[in-house]
Amino acid sequence: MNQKEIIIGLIINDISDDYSKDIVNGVLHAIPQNKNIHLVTMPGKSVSFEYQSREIYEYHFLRNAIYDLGYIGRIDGLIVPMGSLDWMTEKKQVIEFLDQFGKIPKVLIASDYPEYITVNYDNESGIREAVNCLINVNGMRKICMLGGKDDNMDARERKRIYIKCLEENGIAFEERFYEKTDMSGHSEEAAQRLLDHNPDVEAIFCVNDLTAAGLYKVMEKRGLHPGDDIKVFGFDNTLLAAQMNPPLTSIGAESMALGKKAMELLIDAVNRREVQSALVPTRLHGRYSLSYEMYEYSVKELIEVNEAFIYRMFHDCFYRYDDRNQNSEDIKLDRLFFEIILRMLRASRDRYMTMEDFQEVNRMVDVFFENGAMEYTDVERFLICIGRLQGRLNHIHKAGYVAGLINRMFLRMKDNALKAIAECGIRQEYETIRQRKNLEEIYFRQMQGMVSGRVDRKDVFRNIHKFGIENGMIYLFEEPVRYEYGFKFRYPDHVNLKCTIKSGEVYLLPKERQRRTIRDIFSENEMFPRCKGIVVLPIFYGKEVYGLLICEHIGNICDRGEFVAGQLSAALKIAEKEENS
Amino acid sequence: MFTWNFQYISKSHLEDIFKQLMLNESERDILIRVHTAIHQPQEAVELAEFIKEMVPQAHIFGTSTSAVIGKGKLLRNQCVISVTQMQEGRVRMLRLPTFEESGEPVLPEVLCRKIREGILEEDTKLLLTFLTRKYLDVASFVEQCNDYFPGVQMIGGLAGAPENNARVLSEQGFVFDENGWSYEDMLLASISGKRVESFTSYATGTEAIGREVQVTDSFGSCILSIDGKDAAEQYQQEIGEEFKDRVEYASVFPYVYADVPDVPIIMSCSNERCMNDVFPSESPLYRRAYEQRPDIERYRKRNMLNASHNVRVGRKLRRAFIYDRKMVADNRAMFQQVENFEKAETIFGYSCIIRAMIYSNCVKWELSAYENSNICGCLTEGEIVYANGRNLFANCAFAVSAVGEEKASQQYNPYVFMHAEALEKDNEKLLEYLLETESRFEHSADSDCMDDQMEFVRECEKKLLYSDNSDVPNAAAMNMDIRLKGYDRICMINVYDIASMRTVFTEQLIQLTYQNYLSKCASYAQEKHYRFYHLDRWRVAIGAPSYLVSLSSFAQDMETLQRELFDTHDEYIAIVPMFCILDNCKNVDILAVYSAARVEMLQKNVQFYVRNAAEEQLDEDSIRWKYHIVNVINYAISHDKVIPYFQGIYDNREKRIHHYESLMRLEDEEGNLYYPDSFLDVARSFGLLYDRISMLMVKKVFERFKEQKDNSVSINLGFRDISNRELTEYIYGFLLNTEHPENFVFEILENEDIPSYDELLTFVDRIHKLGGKVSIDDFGSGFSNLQHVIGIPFDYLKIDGSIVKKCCENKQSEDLIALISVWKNLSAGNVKIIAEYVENVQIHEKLMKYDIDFSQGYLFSRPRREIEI
Repeated sequence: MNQKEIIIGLIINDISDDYSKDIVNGVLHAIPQNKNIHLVTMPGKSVSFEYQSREIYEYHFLRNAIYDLGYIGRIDGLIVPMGSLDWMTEKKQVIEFLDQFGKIPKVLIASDYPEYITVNYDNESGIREAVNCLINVNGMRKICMLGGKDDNMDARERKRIYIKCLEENGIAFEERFYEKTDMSGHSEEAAQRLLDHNPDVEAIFCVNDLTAAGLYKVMEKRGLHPGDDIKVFGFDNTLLAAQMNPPLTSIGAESMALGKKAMELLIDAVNRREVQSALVPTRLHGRYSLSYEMYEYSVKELIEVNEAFIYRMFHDCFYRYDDRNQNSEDIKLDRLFFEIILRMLRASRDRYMTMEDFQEVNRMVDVFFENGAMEYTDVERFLICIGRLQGRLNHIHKAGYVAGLINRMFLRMKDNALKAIAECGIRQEYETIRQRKNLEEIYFRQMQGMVSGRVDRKDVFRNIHKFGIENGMIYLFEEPVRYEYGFKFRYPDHVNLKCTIKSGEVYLLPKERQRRTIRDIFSENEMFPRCKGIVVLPIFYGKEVYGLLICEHIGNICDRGEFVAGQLSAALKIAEKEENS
Repeated sequence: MFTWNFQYISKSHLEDIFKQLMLNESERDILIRVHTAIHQPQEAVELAEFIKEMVPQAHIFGTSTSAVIGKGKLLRNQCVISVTQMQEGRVRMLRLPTFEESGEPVLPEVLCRKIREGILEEDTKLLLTFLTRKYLDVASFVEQCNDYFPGVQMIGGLAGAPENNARVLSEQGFVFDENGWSYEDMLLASISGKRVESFTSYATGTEAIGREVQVTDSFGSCILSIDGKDAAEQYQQEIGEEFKDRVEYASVFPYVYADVPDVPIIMSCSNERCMNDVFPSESPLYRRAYEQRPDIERYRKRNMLNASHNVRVGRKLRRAFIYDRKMVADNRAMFQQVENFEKAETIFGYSCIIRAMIYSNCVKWELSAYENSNICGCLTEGEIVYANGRNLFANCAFAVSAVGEEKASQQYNPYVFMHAEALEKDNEKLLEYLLETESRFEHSADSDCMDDQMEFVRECEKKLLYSDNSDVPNAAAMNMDIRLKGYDRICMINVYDIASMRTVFTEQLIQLTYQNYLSKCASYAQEKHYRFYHLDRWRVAIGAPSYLVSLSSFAQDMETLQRELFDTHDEYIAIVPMFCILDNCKNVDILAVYSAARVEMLQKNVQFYVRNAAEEQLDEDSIRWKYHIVNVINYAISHDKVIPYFQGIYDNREKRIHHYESLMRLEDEEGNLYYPDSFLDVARSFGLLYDRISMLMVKKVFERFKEQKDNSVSINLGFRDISNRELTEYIYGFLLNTEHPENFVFEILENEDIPSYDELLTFVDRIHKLGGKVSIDDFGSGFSNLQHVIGIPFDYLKIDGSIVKKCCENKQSEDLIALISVWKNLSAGNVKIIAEYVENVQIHEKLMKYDIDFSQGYLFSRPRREIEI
């Protein structure tokens, strides 16, 4: 049976942020295989009158015009994290905006509008876990908070729960315990104030991981070390948390990310099933800035070699791994981890392991890390988990031949892990260098062209793959459309498909085959049969919008896409000037 | 000799048969065997009396049984009668009591002597012997027969208790003749004669595996100690605690006597009973035994290990294992000998009830080799068999005797030995048990004393998992790996065309190529750390777990291997191995998936193929939807809810609507409408549903338009409809009788795969002859073979909507319409062109420009249930 194509739109700002990236990836990964469901990501920018200059927020408004494509083109469902509509201060505006999309099912993330299907963090479970740990385990009583914007629902909620948890433990909240921030990395001033008002602070709860980054900077200047002098924990458990120095303890989803849940609900809604708002449970992910472990590895568990126990260990360690979203053609890492640990635990229990078994496990360990296991955790978390397991096993059998083998296997795991991390870093660096070279080449050619007076737009398109786009399309408007702040951006009815990029090959379309209606821009999309999702980026220079760049949603497009679109715009602008003169 | 078998149905039926047989009873000896699973003892005797009345000289040999063997099948709830008339040979019958009047069992040697004196002659060849379960000295009786009348083959066993769902017939097996029945007697029939020859053998599938042990103490059928250790305890440890719930497994791991390693002795264990419970001392049966063993504690409760017969102290035992390959080998050996036996006029077959219980597939399989022979027999609860010059008492065996006076041969079915897969099903259960046992041993705290047993279990597993005469894992091992170890990426490799190879090359060269092929596959698999399985000749498989190997790298490796196999040296024959990777083959029937994949490979002519085994399995939602649609269709059929809608087609020249297209809609109970794209696929997959809704639709449309003069209608037909004779006959009949057949247009989809153009052309010609019209639907949507399309003499051509819709925006679409228009003019205007999806004025104007005859679309008319004409 042929399944009907379903196109899901996602409106989201600042996609290069870790928080947004987690949502985008969650949504993308929730798309089931072979279901003919596709995602259109429309990335915008955060807008704030309070924290941004006029130029910046006017520019950001322009960027957010991309959201309108959601109702101009055909989509069958929409996901909106409420943070993306941050300039809408009144509920009326939000409803008006959402109504433009018509009757299609919509799922909101982090909203407090009960009339819409919403996915929210269950803020309470994670915060309570953290506060209780501080008070009951560490015996602390002076716990402050770096909060967020008042118009942010999550920020309000987190503050409320923080106060509630303090009071439940008999600690009265005082206003000086709390400072608000814009929830971005610009939280240094607020952090300074907080530290000034509370010189005896023992622990600080940051409304999200980004805010904690600002706090870290301030603490460093003052010679304070997170985790040793002051316990710090954030929220969202983004990749950033693990990359900070020292790694940040953070509250995050227990297993299922927000974006993923939202996508699952939306697919159900599109298929006309009864759908209700959902809460995503949270837990505390312990790292250096506040040590915390959810599970104990007991001797009994280690000796009984229980299947559920090993899988739990895996998910505790590789907390970003979601077995349901894995491509069935790839290696199933959780099962592999299970097989490795199973053999190790058995060997430890029986105090016996053949050399063949030992070699096989070693081979399995290599395969495990070669297949990107470290992408699902951070070094800190990995070392903690593996270290604990190793410690417990050594505690059970102190010496002996098998203990030696087992320790060698642990060593191999750690070696592999570090190697994987290093390789990843080198690869990224190499990639950056390669891209820079490509850009240099493009600029060089254009400059050459400007001198010789032979700059052609086609030249720009021909070299588009050098930006690192493997699959994509470029649509240009007949004429650039000028954007005026305060007026709605008007998309023309027709666009011209200038070129398509398939597997790195550029195909230019002849003039007579370029014309497309903007209405069909998603529904008659040549890329969908091949890819799960696309990202739509505007091509503009100054206030002139030239058209749209559509890229396949893979790899680091979230980080790079906007940059590529920007470069493309600049190149087109130069070409246009040349053509005119 | 002449033998005739038949099923007992009624006495009158029996009478008829005997009349037809026209037995020559005055001059020739007649043996009539009756094996019944449906008679109570008294009824059985009456039956024997009845037979005796009709054939007064016959020897009637009757036993009860739980199921009879006839026509190479096991038949429950039947009674089979086998009549054998001798040429010159003689039949003599004897019924002997096996217990004294005092109740004590008759000593075996006494029985032997009586038999020798009673019915044996110098030229006796075969002795049909049936006992009952009560006589426990049966093993030593059979042993001693060898001494009393050496060379006489015996076949038979212990009569089984008749089972019938409807009523309790008898708790125990019994023997009978026309003079009465008994739970205790022994019934014998000797077949003698100078020219009589017989061959008797058996198959068990048992192989001794464990080390030799000795019975150091026993009491009757109870083995008290083995090698000085408590026998019951030892045995329970070996078989496992669980055996209490799963008695059938005890029979898979029997003991054997060390001197006859292929005849199993099935043990049973009873818990917490005392000697007196099992062997009541007050019963005369055991009086002598208790007298001989005054030291036996009669009332202490203990676990006891019982054999089905008395076991003597000093006998050597070994643990054994019954498994499929040995079954096949044993059966094959026996079958070949039976097949080669020259005087096979009559075949007797007796199989063990335990065998039928555990190895039901096996019993079916082994009997099917004899399905066209006159084999007749029944299930027994212990068999008397003959092999290598000696008679033995066995359990779990399949015994066959062939006997005859003249040269004769039966029709056998030797092909069954090529298809022994059915046995693997039995194996799976067994393997599961073995693995369970193994893990139990693994978890057991006291590991030292288990080593022996562990070894035994592993040995058994090896027997099951490895292919013949090599240590390469076989198909069963593959299935186990798939299920237990997650080896769910399997590459099946096969070479066809061996037969054609044989016509050209020597067997030696083929063998050399085969060995090279095998070793290349095996060594490559080993190098890459994959598992290699040898499934059958030329058929191998390589497996890997999805948690260790990604599909892409597995496929890459397999491609490399295939290339290596292609690269042949001069010294080998060039072979074309077919590689088929089955991914995700957990929880699926791998053979079924492989067969389906093979068909696709043949169709596409590819030698390398990757297939996701789980893909065909629809997800839950789709399945639910599918059945919902089936319900809707069924409802529509039964409640007259197949509803034709009509959409007007605008005549661009006459500027009016006088032609309509009929469109099918279904309505469900709640009044929801269903469009063809939602139900046609499902209806097609349930072909008959499709035929029925098509028929209803056509009838309704005809009904609506049959009175019309100026309005015409078109009906969509698929190729399935055209090959549906019922429907086409109906259409022809209607056109023949209607006044205006030219008002009916049949639309044929252009983009459908048409398996037979001839059939289609026949239909079109017939329609034309009857005055109807034909239209080509959705022209331009498939990859039209224009030659084919033009070859059909159609009257209308409908341009596909996707082209029309875009004709204002898209130059290519417009060009296509122009092309069709030009072509229409060239073809002298016999064909009218229809454009569908005419949604707005712009499109319509464009169509007018190209002189398109008809426009269909929302601009002019929407599909409606009711139309005013």
